[in-house]
Amino acid sequence: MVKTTIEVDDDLWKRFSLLVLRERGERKKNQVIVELLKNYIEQRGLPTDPQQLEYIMRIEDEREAFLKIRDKLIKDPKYSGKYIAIFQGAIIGCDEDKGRLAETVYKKYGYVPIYIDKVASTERHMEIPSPELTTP
Amino acid sequence: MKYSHEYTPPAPSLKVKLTNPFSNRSLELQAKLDTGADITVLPQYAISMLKLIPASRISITSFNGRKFWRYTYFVNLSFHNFKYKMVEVISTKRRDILLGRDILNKLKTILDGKKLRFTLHDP
Repeated sequence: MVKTTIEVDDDLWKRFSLLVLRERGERKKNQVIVELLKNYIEQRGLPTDPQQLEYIMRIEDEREAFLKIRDKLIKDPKYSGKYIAIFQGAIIGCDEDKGRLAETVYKKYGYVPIYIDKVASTERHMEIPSPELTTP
Repeated sequence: MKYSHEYTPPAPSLKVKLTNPFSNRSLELQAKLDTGADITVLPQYAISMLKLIPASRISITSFNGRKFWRYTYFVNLSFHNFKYKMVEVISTKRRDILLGRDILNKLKTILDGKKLRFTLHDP
């Protein structure tokens, strides 16, 4: 457990306290704050499962390695516009088809966190306009 | 196939089997056909249950124009006689799957809203 102190505007705290008192009863503010923190994290796609969190941290390390070499790769016709796989900071595969690349590298290196992304100047972007999709 | 009345208004939906590509873990869930979705979306709990490993991170724009990011995972999908290997998907907090155009564009889909029926073919 971590103990922390935060500064909050007086009026904001009064209104928050009043709402918690009204809806949850006395001495429940800490519980509500923990719930808010959990929701904030979950809504942004970070799972609470410790195993998933460990995978994500390893993927973030590999992503950082990818971003460091991305500009160089964009200029290289061998990689530009293709998908590459990064494992332990090094390029371990390249393919025009991301699914085929994933299958190849997982078979070779095991089903472990391997970062796969497209060599392009902008990050990959998708649209999910379904209104009921949970968003931050 | 019939539209599902679990949605209001009724929506084209079907059972989809999800499988971890490197283990025998699998899960069958309801999926709604979503021609607006660029990529298939799984419920977050399915990722943990199937023990999928994240492979990438992409940015997403939602219906209200807000941008956020999501991790992607590769999974095997199957429904009826259709099987798709190593499909890149994202996850979010929801109960069902959104079957996006990444899969729907591989099929011929006929939606008959009048009769609340739909068909899927791979001609």
